[in-house]
Amino acid sequence: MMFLSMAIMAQGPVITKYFNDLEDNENYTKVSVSQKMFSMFTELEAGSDAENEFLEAVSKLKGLKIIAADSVADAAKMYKKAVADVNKAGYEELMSVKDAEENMQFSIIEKDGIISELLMVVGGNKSFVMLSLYGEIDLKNISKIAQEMRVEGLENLGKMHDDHDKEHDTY
Amino acid sequence: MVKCTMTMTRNTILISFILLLGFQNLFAQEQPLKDFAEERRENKFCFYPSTLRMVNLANNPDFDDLVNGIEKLLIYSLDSTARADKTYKDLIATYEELDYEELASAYGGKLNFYIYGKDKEYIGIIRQEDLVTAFYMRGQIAMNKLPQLMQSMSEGDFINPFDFNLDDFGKNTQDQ
Repeated sequence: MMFLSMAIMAQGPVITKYFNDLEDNENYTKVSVSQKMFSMFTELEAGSDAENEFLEAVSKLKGLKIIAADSVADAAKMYKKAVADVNKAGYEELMSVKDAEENMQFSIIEKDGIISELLMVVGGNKSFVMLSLYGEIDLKNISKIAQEMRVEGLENLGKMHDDHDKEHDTY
Repeated sequence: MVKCTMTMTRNTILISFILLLGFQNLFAQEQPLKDFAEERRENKFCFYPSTLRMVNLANNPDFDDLVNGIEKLLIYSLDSTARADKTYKDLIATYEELDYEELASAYGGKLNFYIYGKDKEYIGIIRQEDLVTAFYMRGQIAMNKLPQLMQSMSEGDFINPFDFNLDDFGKNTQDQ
């Protein structure tokens, strides 16, 4: 039981709950990338400094989970509920963006100066994205990972880039 | 005497190498996929390094880097029965029993895929609307080149080997 709860904690309690809740809902695409996949990056040889930075950052990740929908009627409701669940679960809000098109919130779980999960929730008029990146996360490398991986939904992490220095100072 | 010993050593190395190749094929775990897909296939494609480079129409260097370490790529497009009864999920269960670990998966929505791997062998199922593709790959893949390649794929730099038809591609790549 203890191991099970530790595994859920490692994967992020909120994303795990939403994965389970939306398991059979065909409107939502659920993507999961395992630690094994990330560990395969460690076997590669970097061709440049930038590539080396990316490989180093990625090799510390333990997983990535994404829930995404681009045409759901209750997107705004889902976003509100998800943000409430994230805050209730004890995540620390890192940054939020609100505009006419979509709302976005980045939250983290951090202990002893190490970020173990970065959770992003995005809600538009009809779109919803929840993305959880877990492992050992260095915020300096987030935009690099987002830029290099080009996974749908992950590009939003790049929006942290402009505010990165500010965030890093306040963090 | 020394010359004789060197010749024997060379022969021993050569024989060991041939035996090693034989054992590698013996242990290659493509058979469960073949057993499953041979009776349910619409098309089958088998690529080796030389033929794999042929799909790189724009000579994209990322593509060559990606496929450089691939020894074999076997692709089956499955028939309508397999698409309907979803028995391809049994194939995944078979590989799980062979200690293959999940690398990535996506389900729900328009794109579904399951990719499993063990050592340097990988199998996967990709379902896009009415097309289901199963593949087996042996070798090493340059993971860091994948994102650029996905981009290139959408720009038509090369034929997507998981989504092409025979009208688009030379029929000599078929491994019948």
